[in-house]
Amino acid sequence: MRIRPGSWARTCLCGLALLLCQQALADIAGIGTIKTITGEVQVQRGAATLTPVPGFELQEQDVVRTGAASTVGIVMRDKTILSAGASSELRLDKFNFDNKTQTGAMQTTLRKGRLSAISGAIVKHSPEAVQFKTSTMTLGVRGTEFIIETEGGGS
Amino acid sequence: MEAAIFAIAVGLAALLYQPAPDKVVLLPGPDGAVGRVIVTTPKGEQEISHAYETAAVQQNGRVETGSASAESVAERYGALLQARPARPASYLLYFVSGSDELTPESQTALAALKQDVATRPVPEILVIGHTDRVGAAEANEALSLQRAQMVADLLRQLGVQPKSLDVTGRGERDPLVPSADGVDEPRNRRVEVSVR
Repeated sequence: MRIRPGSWARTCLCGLALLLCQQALADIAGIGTIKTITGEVQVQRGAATLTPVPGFELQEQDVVRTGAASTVGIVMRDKTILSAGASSELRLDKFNFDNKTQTGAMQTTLRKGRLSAISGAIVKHSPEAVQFKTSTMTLGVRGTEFIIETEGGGS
Repeated sequence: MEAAIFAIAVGLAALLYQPAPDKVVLLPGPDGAVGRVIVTTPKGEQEISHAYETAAVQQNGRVETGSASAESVAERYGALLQARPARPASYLLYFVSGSDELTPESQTALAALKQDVATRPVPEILVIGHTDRVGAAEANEALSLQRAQMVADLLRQLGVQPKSLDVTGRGERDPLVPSADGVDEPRNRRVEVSVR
Protein backbone atom coordinates (compact mmCIF):
# COMPACT_ATOMS: atom_id res chain seq x y z
CA MET A 1 0.00 0.00 0.00
CA ARG A 2 1.30 3.38 -0.97
CA ILE A 3 1.05 6.20 1.54
CA ARG A 4 -0.19 9.22 -0.27
CA PRO A 5 1.93 12.32 0.18
CA GLY A 6 0.40 14.69 2.63
CA SER A 7 -1.58 12.08 4.51
CA TRP A 8 0.73 12.36 7.52
CA ALA A 9 0.33 16.08 7.54
CA ARG A 10 -3.41 15.60 7.34
CA THR A 11 -3.37 13.17 10.24
CA CYS A 12 -1.33 15.60 12.30
CA LEU A 13 -3.66 18.46 11.43
CA CYS A 14 -6.70 16.37 12.33
CA GLY A 15 -5.08 15.45 15.64
CA LEU A 16 -4.29 19.09 16.34
CA ALA A 17 -7.81 20.15 15.43
CA LEU A 18 -9.20 17.50 17.77
CA LEU A 19 -6.92 18.70 20.56
CA LEU A 20 -8.01 22.30 20.02
CA CYS A 21 -11.63 21.20 20.01
CA GLN A 22 -11.20 19.40 23.31
CA GLN A 23 -9.47 22.46 24.70
CA ALA A 24 -12.36 24.62 23.56
CA LEU A 25 -14.84 22.21 25.14
CA ALA A 26 -12.88 22.26 28.39
CA ASP A 27 -12.92 26.05 28.35
CA ILE A 28 -16.67 26.23 27.95
CA ALA A 29 -17.33 23.39 30.42
CA GLY A 30 -20.34 24.27 32.52
CA ILE A 31 -20.70 27.38 34.65
CA GLY A 32 -23.30 25.54 36.71
CA THR A 33 -25.33 22.35 36.88
CA ILE A 34 -29.07 21.84 36.87
CA LYS A 35 -29.81 19.67 39.91
CA THR A 36 -33.57 19.58 40.20
CA ILE A 37 -36.36 19.76 37.62
CA THR A 38 -40.10 19.53 38.08
CA GLY A 39 -42.52 19.91 35.18
CA GLU A 40 -41.30 21.50 31.97
CA VAL A 41 -37.90 23.19 31.75
CA GLN A 42 -36.12 24.40 28.63
CA VAL A 43 -32.75 25.95 27.98
CA GLN A 44 -32.36 28.36 25.10
CA ARG A 45 -28.77 28.30 23.88
CA GLY A 46 -28.31 30.60 20.90
CA ALA A 47 -30.78 29.35 18.30
CA ALA A 48 -31.13 25.93 19.93
CA THR A 49 -33.85 24.97 22.41
CA LEU A 50 -32.63 22.19 24.68
CA THR A 51 -34.56 20.00 27.11
CA PRO A 52 -32.31 19.50 30.13
CA VAL A 53 -32.27 16.63 32.61
CA PRO A 54 -30.68 16.81 36.08
CA GLY A 55 -26.91 17.00 35.59
CA PHE A 56 -27.25 19.34 32.58
CA GLU A 57 -24.32 21.76 32.41
CA LEU A 58 -25.21 25.38 31.81
CA GLN A 59 -23.19 27.90 29.82
CA GLU A 60 -22.86 31.67 29.83
CA GLN A 61 -25.81 33.38 28.10
CA ASP A 62 -28.11 30.38 28.45
CA VAL A 63 -31.74 31.30 29.04
CA VAL A 64 -33.56 28.92 31.40
CA ARG A 65 -37.36 28.79 31.04
CA THR A 66 -39.91 27.01 33.18
CA GLY A 67 -43.47 26.11 32.25
CA ALA A 68 -46.62 26.40 34.37
CA ALA A 69 -46.34 24.52 37.70
CA SER A 70 -42.65 23.85 36.97
CA THR A 71 -39.42 24.59 38.83
CA VAL A 72 -35.70 24.28 38.28
CA GLY A 73 -32.80 24.20 40.77
CA ILE A 74 -29.22 25.08 39.85
CA VAL A 75 -25.83 25.05 41.60
CA MET A 76 -23.28 27.39 40.02
CA ARG A 77 -19.54 26.60 40.07
CA ASP A 78 -18.93 29.10 42.89
CA LYS A 79 -21.66 27.35 44.94
CA THR A 80 -24.27 30.00 44.27
CA ILE A 81 -27.64 28.26 44.53
CA LEU A 82 -30.47 29.35 42.27
CA SER A 83 -34.02 28.18 41.82
CA ALA A 84 -36.71 29.47 39.50
CA GLY A 85 -40.44 29.08 39.99
CA ALA A 86 -43.29 28.54 37.54
CA SER A 87 -43.47 30.44 34.23
CA SER A 88 -40.09 32.03 34.81
CA GLU A 89 -37.32 33.11 32.49
CA LEU A 90 -33.78 33.47 33.72
CA ARG A 91 -30.77 34.55 31.67
CA LEU A 92 -27.24 33.68 32.85
CA ASP A 93 -25.71 36.81 31.28
CA LYS A 94 -22.20 36.47 32.59
CA PHE A 95 -20.27 34.07 34.82
CA ASN A 96 -16.62 33.46 35.45
CA PHE A 97 -14.96 31.98 38.49
CA ASP A 98 -11.39 31.15 39.46
CA ASN A 99 -11.47 28.20 41.80
CA LYS A 100 -7.98 28.99 43.13
CA THR A 101 -8.60 32.61 44.16
CA GLN A 102 -12.37 32.05 44.65
CA THR A 103 -13.02 35.30 42.77
CA GLY A 104 -14.94 36.00 39.59
CA ALA A 105 -17.98 37.82 38.27
CA MET A 106 -21.62 36.98 37.78
CA GLN A 107 -24.60 38.71 36.23
CA THR A 108 -28.03 37.12 36.07
CA THR A 109 -31.26 38.62 34.72
CA LEU A 110 -34.72 37.48 35.77
CA ARG A 111 -36.86 38.40 32.75
CA LYS A 112 -40.04 37.17 34.38
CA GLY A 113 -41.27 34.98 37.19
CA ARG A 114 -39.62 34.13 40.47
CA LEU A 115 -36.02 33.48 41.41
CA SER A 116 -34.49 32.48 44.72
CA ALA A 117 -30.76 32.78 45.27
CA ILE A 118 -28.23 31.84 47.95
CA SER A 119 -25.01 33.70 47.29
CA GLY A 120 -21.77 31.77 46.77
CA ALA A 121 -18.02 32.27 46.77
CA ILE A 122 -17.93 35.21 44.33
CA VAL A 123 -20.15 37.32 46.60
CA LYS A 124 -17.95 36.34 49.53
CA HIS A 125 -14.69 37.36 47.88
CA SER A 126 -15.69 40.03 45.35
CA PRO A 127 -19.25 41.13 46.13
CA GLU A 128 -19.16 44.15 43.80
CA ALA A 129 -18.72 41.72 40.88
CA VAL A 130 -22.17 40.16 41.34
CA GLN A 131 -25.42 41.59 39.98
CA PHE A 132 -28.95 40.30 39.76
CA LYS A 133 -31.23 42.27 37.43
CA THR A 134 -34.82 42.64 36.32
CA SER A 135 -36.06 45.12 33.71
CA THR A 136 -36.52 47.78 36.41
CA MET A 137 -33.90 47.12 39.09
CA THR A 138 -30.37 45.97 39.77
CA LEU A 139 -29.42 44.12 42.95
CA GLY A 140 -26.09 44.20 44.69
CA VAL A 141 -25.63 41.34 47.13
CA ARG A 142 -23.67 41.09 50.37
CA GLY A 143 -23.58 37.48 51.55
CA THR A 144 -27.18 36.46 51.73
CA GLU A 145 -30.21 34.72 50.38
CA PHE A 146 -33.24 36.33 48.81
CA ILE A 147 -36.16 36.03 46.41
CA ILE A 148 -36.84 38.21 43.36
CA GLU A 149 -40.20 38.44 41.66
CA THR A 150 -41.07 40.24 38.44
CA GLU A 151 -43.90 40.22 35.93
CA GLY A 152 -41.33 41.36 33.41
CA GLY A 153 -43.44 44.32 32.27
CA GLY A 154 -40.85 46.92 33.07
CA SER A 155 -41.65 50.61 32.86
CA MET B 1 -70.43 50.28 17.05
CA GLU B 2 -69.93 47.27 19.30
CA ALA B 3 -66.50 46.74 17.76
CA ALA B 4 -65.60 50.34 18.53
CA ILE B 5 -66.68 49.97 22.16
CA PHE B 6 -64.71 46.76 22.41
CA ALA B 7 -61.63 48.45 20.99
CA ILE B 8 -61.95 51.33 23.44
CA ALA B 9 -62.44 48.89 26.33
CA VAL B 10 -59.32 46.96 25.35
CA GLY B 11 -57.39 50.20 25.00
CA LEU B 12 -58.55 51.38 28.42
CA ALA B 13 -57.69 48.05 30.00
CA ALA B 14 -54.20 48.24 28.49
CA LEU B 15 -53.82 51.79 29.84
CA LEU B 16 -55.08 50.87 33.29
CA TYR B 17 -53.14 47.62 33.57
CA GLN B 18 -50.27 48.07 35.94
CA PRO B 19 -47.92 45.15 36.33
CA ALA B 20 -47.07 44.31 39.94
CA PRO B 21 -43.83 46.03 40.88
CA ASP B 22 -40.57 44.10 40.77
CA LYS B 23 -39.89 42.95 44.28
CA VAL B 24 -37.14 41.50 46.47
CA VAL B 25 -37.54 39.63 49.77
CA LEU B 26 -34.50 39.10 51.97
CA LEU B 27 -34.32 35.72 53.73
CA PRO B 28 -32.43 34.65 56.84
CA GLY B 29 -29.81 31.94 56.42
CA PRO B 30 -30.13 28.53 58.11
CA ASP B 31 -28.21 29.88 61.13
CA GLY B 32 -30.43 32.97 61.27
CA ALA B 33 -27.75 35.27 59.83
CA VAL B 34 -29.02 37.91 57.41
CA GLY B 35 -26.92 39.63 54.74
CA ARG B 36 -27.77 42.71 52.73
CA VAL B 37 -29.22 43.46 49.32
CA ILE B 38 -28.85 46.87 47.67
CA VAL B 39 -31.62 47.60 45.17
CA THR B 40 -30.82 50.24 42.55
CA THR B 41 -33.03 51.86 39.92
CA PRO B 42 -32.34 54.96 37.79
CA LYS B 43 -34.39 56.90 40.39
CA GLY B 44 -32.93 55.68 43.62
CA GLU B 45 -31.35 53.11 45.84
CA GLN B 46 -32.43 51.22 48.96
CA GLU B 47 -30.68 48.71 51.12
CA ILE B 48 -32.52 45.94 52.96
CA SER B 49 -30.79 44.08 55.77
CA HIS B 50 -33.41 42.42 57.99
CA ALA B 51 -35.02 39.00 57.74
CA TYR B 52 -38.12 39.14 55.49
CA GLU B 53 -37.56 42.82 54.69
CA THR B 54 -38.81 43.65 51.18
CA ALA B 55 -37.97 46.23 48.52
CA ALA B 56 -40.31 47.04 45.62
CA VAL B 57 -39.89 49.31 42.62
CA GLN B 58 -42.69 51.88 42.55
CA GLN B 59 -44.37 53.39 39.45
CA ASN B 60 -42.25 56.51 39.84
CA GLY B 61 -39.12 54.36 39.76
CA ARG B 62 -38.29 54.82 43.42
CA VAL B 63 -37.64 51.88 45.68
CA GLU B 64 -39.87 51.37 48.71
CA THR B 65 -39.03 49.01 51.54
CA GLY B 66 -41.52 46.99 53.55
CA SER B 67 -41.74 43.71 55.37
CA ALA B 68 -43.09 40.22 54.87
CA SER B 69 -43.21 37.31 57.33
CA ALA B 70 -41.88 33.77 57.44
CA GLU B 71 -45.46 32.51 57.00
CA SER B 72 -46.30 34.69 53.99
CA VAL B 73 -43.01 33.77 52.31
CA ALA B 74 -43.60 30.04 52.91
CA GLU B 75 -47.09 30.34 51.47
CA ARG B 76 -46.26 32.42 48.41
CA TYR B 77 -42.85 30.94 47.57
CA GLY B 78 -43.07 27.39 48.96
CA ALA B 79 -42.56 25.64 45.60
CA LEU B 80 -39.73 28.00 44.66
CA LEU B 81 -37.86 27.37 47.91
CA GLN B 82 -38.55 23.63 47.65
CA ALA B 83 -36.75 23.62 44.27
CA ARG B 84 -33.49 24.93 45.76
CA PRO B 85 -30.83 22.22 45.58
CA ALA B 86 -29.20 21.24 48.90
CA ARG B 87 -26.42 23.57 50.00
CA PRO B 88 -22.93 22.39 49.14
CA ALA B 89 -21.27 20.74 52.14
CA SER B 90 -17.70 19.98 53.10
CA TYR B 91 -16.32 17.08 55.16
CA LEU B 92 -12.90 16.69 56.77
CA LEU B 93 -11.29 13.28 57.16
CA TYR B 94 -8.10 12.96 59.23
CA PHE B 95 -5.11 10.64 58.86
CA VAL B 96 -2.56 8.78 60.93
CA SER B 97 0.86 10.48 60.67
CA GLY B 98 2.81 9.71 57.50
CA SER B 99 0.15 7.35 56.15
CA ASP B 100 -3.00 7.17 54.08
CA GLU B 101 -4.78 5.44 56.96
CA LEU B 102 -7.88 7.22 58.30
CA THR B 103 -8.10 7.97 62.03
CA PRO B 104 -10.83 5.89 63.73
CA GLU B 105 -12.91 9.04 64.43
CA SER B 106 -13.01 9.85 60.73
CA GLN B 107 -15.13 6.77 60.04
CA THR B 108 -18.10 8.70 61.49
CA ALA B 109 -17.51 11.62 59.14
CA LEU B 110 -17.16 9.18 56.26
CA ALA B 111 -20.55 7.62 57.06
CA ALA B 112 -22.17 11.08 57.20
CA LEU B 113 -20.52 11.97 53.89
CA LYS B 114 -21.80 8.84 52.22
CA GLN B 115 -25.33 9.48 53.45
CA ASP B 116 -25.21 13.12 52.30
CA VAL B 117 -24.07 12.18 48.79
CA ALA B 118 -26.87 9.61 48.55
CA THR B 119 -29.52 12.31 49.13
CA ARG B 120 -28.27 14.61 46.34
CA PRO B 121 -29.45 14.37 42.76
CA VAL B 122 -26.41 14.21 40.41
CA PRO B 123 -23.81 14.85 43.15
CA GLU B 124 -20.50 16.45 42.19
CA ILE B 125 -17.57 15.66 44.49
CA LEU B 126 -14.18 17.32 44.89
CA VAL B 127 -11.56 15.50 46.99
CA ILE B 128 -8.53 17.54 48.14
CA GLY B 129 -5.67 15.92 50.05
CA HIS B 130 -3.38 17.73 52.52
CA THR B 131 -0.45 16.87 54.80
CA ASP B 132 1.26 18.39 57.82
CA ARG B 133 4.84 19.69 57.52
CA VAL B 134 6.65 16.55 58.73
CA GLY B 135 8.96 15.31 55.95
CA ALA B 136 10.03 16.84 52.63
CA ALA B 137 7.60 19.07 50.72
CA GLU B 138 7.85 16.89 47.58
CA ALA B 139 7.07 13.72 49.52
CA ASN B 140 4.08 15.51 51.04
CA GLU B 141 2.80 16.44 47.57
CA ALA B 142 2.71 12.73 46.74
CA LEU B 143 1.24 11.75 50.13
CA SER B 144 -1.56 14.35 49.87
CA LEU B 145 -2.57 12.99 46.48
CA GLN B 146 -2.33 9.42 47.77
CA ARG B 147 -4.66 10.31 50.66
CA ALA B 148 -7.14 11.97 48.33
CA GLN B 149 -7.02 9.02 45.94
CA MET B 150 -7.58 6.62 48.83
CA VAL B 151 -10.69 8.53 49.93
CA ALA B 152 -11.99 8.63 46.34
CA ASP B 153 -11.51 4.85 46.06
CA LEU B 154 -13.20 4.36 49.42
CA LEU B 155 -16.21 6.39 48.26
CA ARG B 156 -16.47 4.31 45.09
CA GLN B 157 -16.24 1.10 47.18
CA LEU B 158 -19.07 2.43 49.36
CA GLY B 159 -21.18 2.60 46.23
CA VAL B 160 -21.15 6.36 45.85
CA GLN B 161 -21.98 7.21 42.23
CA PRO B 162 -21.34 10.89 41.64
CA LYS B 163 -21.75 12.80 38.38
CA SER B 164 -18.11 13.81 38.79
CA LEU B 165 -15.33 12.96 41.23
CA ASP B 166 -12.27 15.22 41.01
CA VAL B 167 -9.15 14.39 43.01
CA THR B 168 -6.27 16.77 43.79
CA GLY B 169 -3.43 16.99 46.32
CA ARG B 170 -2.11 20.24 47.75
CA GLY B 171 0.76 18.80 49.80
CA GLU B 172 1.64 20.91 52.83
CA ARG B 173 0.91 24.18 50.99
CA ASP B 174 -2.59 24.75 52.36
CA PRO B 175 -2.55 24.07 56.11
CA LEU B 176 -5.70 24.41 58.19
CA VAL B 177 -3.46 25.39 61.12
CA PRO B 178 -0.27 27.20 60.05
CA SER B 179 2.83 25.61 61.59
CA ALA B 180 6.64 25.65 61.41
CA ASP B 181 8.31 23.10 59.14
CA GLY B 182 8.62 19.62 60.65
CA VAL B 183 5.71 20.06 63.08
CA ASP B 184 3.43 17.03 63.59
CA GLU B 185 0.01 18.73 63.30
CA PRO B 186 -2.85 16.21 63.15
CA ARG B 187 -5.38 18.85 62.06
CA ASN B 188 -3.42 19.42 58.85
CA ARG B 189 -3.26 15.71 57.93
CA ARG B 190 -6.62 15.75 56.23
CA VAL B 191 -8.67 15.21 53.13
CA GLU B 192 -11.39 17.71 52.43
CA VAL B 193 -14.36 16.38 50.52
CA SER B 194 -16.65 19.02 49.00
CA VAL B 195 -20.05 17.78 47.90
CA ARG B 196 -22.60 19.64 45.84
